[in-house]
Amino acid sequence: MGSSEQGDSAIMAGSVVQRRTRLGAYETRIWAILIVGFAFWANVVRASHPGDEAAFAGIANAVLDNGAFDVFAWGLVLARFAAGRDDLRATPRAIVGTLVLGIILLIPARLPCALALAVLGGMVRTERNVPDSVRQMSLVLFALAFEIVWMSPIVAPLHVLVASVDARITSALLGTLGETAASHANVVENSATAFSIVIWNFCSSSFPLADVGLAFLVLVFYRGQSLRIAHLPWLAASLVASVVLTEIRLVLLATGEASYQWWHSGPGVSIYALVALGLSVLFPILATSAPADAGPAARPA
Amino acid sequence: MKTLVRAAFVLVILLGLASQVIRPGRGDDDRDTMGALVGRLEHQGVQIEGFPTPQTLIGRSPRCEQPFLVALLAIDGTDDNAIASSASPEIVQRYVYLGAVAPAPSRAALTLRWAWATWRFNIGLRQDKPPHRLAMLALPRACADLTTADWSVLSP
Repeated sequence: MGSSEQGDSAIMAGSVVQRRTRLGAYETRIWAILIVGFAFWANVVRASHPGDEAAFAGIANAVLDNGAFDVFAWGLVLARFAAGRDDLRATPRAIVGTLVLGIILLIPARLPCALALAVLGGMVRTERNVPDSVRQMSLVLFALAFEIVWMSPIVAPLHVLVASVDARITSALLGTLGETAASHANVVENSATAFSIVIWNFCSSSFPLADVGLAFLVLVFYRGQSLRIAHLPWLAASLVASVVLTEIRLVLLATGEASYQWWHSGPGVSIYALVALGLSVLFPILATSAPADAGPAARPA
Repeated sequence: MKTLVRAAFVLVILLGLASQVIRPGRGDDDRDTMGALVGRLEHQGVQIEGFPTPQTLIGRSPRCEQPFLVALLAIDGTDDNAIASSASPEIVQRYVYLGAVAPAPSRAALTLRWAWATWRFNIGLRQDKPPHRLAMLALPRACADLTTADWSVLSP
């Protein structure tokens, strides 16, 4: 027993000496999230001002336009990283990994941001002795990375395919409302009002799904729970609700020119955004309000 | 050692911000792309007869009596209906994108070309941002001089 205590003291003393010459694990994680966070938001601002110098007001708009849940997700990640203080020293792998993140982010594009987020998520998930509250955030980082890839031109062909399915659903729904409509690829032709709409990839029902998934994840973690199997039906319901909302919006857009203007460029934009936001918040709250989940998280995500 | 590592972290943050702030090259404005296409066609001796839509033009070459159509189409497939509507037994289609000419649009090949060019643009090896549009030519099959010509010079 005595020799064990002496050994522990020696290890602790060695740890103190090493800590003087090497960064702490906590500080390294903070540096890593700062490196990725600065590049992420700088890229968001740059993407919103291609070729122009971003004005200060433009920066704020770009941040908000990127999505409320992206801001919320970053806030949660930063808060958890900041609260996850420990006395461990950083491993060489963590320090080198953090520098590699910075090198990846020297490429000013969205996909390197996604790669850096995924690498950081992997580092946090596989690092030993990371507080559970911080380890949970690896899923949020993965979700942010997935969101970037999902909305990138690489996945655009998939959204185009979905848009052609959306066009068929929209014309069928218009038919049930008594209007004669047809679809050709991603175009909906409403013969009754001689009005057509083209469903672009970013208007397809699949496009917002990554954002909805991120919102679900962030709210579950915000409410102090881990992601459980029992949450998945609620996540599925949230995604289905988003698809249904998009189909309803497309039907309203295809009804006629006046309706199109109202829902595409008028007050309808805010109504749609508020309903989408409400649905994104509703399902994770319902999921985390179930009696079985009332207690603290049993195991980390 | 700690100070050195911290300095390295600060440096990569600053370099990352700087790489985002540096003004990127010329964008892929549609009007620029169409204007450049018209210039290249006229350089080939093609006379422009009209613009049925902002992304479509009718041209006539001295090598063929029949006019032909040139359209700028999205590479992500959003203009697939336009491609389908221009298909006909009397028409030979050519798809020109980033220096390559193909008889049919291959989504995978186009995406790879775009991704490679975008990467080169982002690290500064390419001056212009790669366009999201390709040039489609609908040529009369009867005019062999046109269907066998090297149209890569029209590359957006």
